Amino acid sequence: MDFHEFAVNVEKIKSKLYKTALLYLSNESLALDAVDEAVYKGLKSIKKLKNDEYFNTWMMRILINECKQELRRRKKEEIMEVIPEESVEIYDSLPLKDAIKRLPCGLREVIILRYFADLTLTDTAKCLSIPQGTAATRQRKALELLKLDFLIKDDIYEQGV
Amino acid sequence: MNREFEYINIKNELENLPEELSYTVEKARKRLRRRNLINGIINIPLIIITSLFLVFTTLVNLSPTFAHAFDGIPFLNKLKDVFSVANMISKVMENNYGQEVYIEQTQGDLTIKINYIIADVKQLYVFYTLRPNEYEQLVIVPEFYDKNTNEKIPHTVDGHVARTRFYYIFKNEMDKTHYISFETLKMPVNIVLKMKVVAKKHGMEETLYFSFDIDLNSGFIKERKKYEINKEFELTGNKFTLVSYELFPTHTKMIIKADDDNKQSIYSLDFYIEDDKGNRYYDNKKTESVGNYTYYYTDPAYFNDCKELKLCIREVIWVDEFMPRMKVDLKNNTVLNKPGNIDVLFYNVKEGVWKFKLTKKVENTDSEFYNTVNQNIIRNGCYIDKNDNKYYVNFVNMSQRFEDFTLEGTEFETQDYYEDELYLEYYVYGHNAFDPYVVVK
Repeated sequence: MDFHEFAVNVEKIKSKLYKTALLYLSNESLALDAVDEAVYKGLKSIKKLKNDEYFNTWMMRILINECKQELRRRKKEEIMEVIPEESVEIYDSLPLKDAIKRLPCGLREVIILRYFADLTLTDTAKCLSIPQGTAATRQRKALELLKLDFLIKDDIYEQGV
Repeated sequence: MNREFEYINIKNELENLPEELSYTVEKARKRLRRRNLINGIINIPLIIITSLFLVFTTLVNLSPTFAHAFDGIPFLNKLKDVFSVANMISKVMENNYGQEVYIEQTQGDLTIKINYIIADVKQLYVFYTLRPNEYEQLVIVPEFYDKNTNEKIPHTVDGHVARTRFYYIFKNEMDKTHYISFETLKMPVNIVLKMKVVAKKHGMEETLYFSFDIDLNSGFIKERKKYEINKEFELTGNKFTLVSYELFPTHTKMIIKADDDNKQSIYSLDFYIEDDKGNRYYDNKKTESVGNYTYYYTDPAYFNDCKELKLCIREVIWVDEFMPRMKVDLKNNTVLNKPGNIDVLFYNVKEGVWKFKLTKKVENTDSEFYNTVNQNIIRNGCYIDKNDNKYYVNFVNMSQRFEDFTLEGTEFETQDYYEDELYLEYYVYGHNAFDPYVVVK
């Protein structure tokens, strides 16, 4: 993939990258920084991408790594108290944005990619390097916790299940 | 609010993509190109990446009444929707610091309309729109005069380098909002902005003159906040002093002094300032150097109430002492070698003054060349020869001739002595533009 193709492909997914970073990091400057860094790293190592078909998930993976690195640096994971599973009703009482932030990391990632970056379940699983079945389970669990029932219905409808 | 509404609201919020996102690929390309270039040209490691977290505590609290001081002034919130400029402007807009004016003038087939002004004690932004009819290209040369004294206001950077700025506007950009940025030592309240416009239409050029009276609201011109830091730090064995930090509504300025005994000189510094709430203010790539002092500018932190700022230097690139060198023998009027295919078409020796005209053939006529020259020739305005004599650039003039870009009229003034040789060092920056960086030795 040459620079021009890279630029065109990034153009297509840049909004998804930014939305994902923003939901991960909850800060516009940091999100922009993460996207910049991910795009730079992507461009630097574009020759390592053997199959252009995987460009989107590959870029998303780089971005997620950047976001996680930033979170680790800022130690937000430690500050953010994860609510134990038995306190599910607490999620219901929180505004949706806060409830998403407080989800366990594995569930939160799936929700961000599936419902805010609008990735398919298959691509979500690829980005997170988890089996599709695991992604589906986490998705269902997260939607239940967040009381996003209407998305469960939509999802079933879309997938023809 | 039910979950469905909340979900839709968040989705809608996420649709507000920042303008900077448009430049992410270009930023990455430039960063990579710079690395590739330097890595490719020389054999020894020249990029020394240094991370440094230097915390300095300053009292940057704004006066609590400040935020309410401009209640009576028409604000510019809508401006940020009209054009795309750096973070600094949007921050200024968000904080309602600006002046709305509507002044319109027509000369020839060109109408210029001034819409908004942002000013502080040292800097002025004038935002304007054009009705250009059929013009293909405009070159705008602005000059500012004090209305009360009729004297030209010197365009200065800390009193050192006065430079003439040109604004090139090409056909595809004419429908946008443009701005003129002007810096001076102390901003008068009543200003006359004169704009000389060289307009090109059907291959013919005509020169148009505009004159606008601008009365700044004195409430907008606030004194800057200056903090003396004087804190020393080291980057790979080279000593620097963070001298001071200044906050303006339109920008911040950080002064770093390099120690006289340093073995290396900074080529570029990638840094940001972070406040105690995690907001980052990035290096806006504008840098000025005078002797050992370098001024670095960032987006403004002025409007954010914070108690501590942190300087984070992400990367330092040092000047390559082994760069290809252009050697000009002024005594015999000869050029001994010309790296990077940069030609010296003309030079003239007068009493203690040399003039150079440097040219390089480039393929694309884009603004990159001008930016590169602006940022690299002018910002490194002081050159030192092998005998430690200092030379200052007084004036840089650029002109465009089809595909040739020419830099001319660079003057190096000596004081009371005459030197046989002057060393200039260059390297080629990409293939469409050159980066005539001159090493301070």
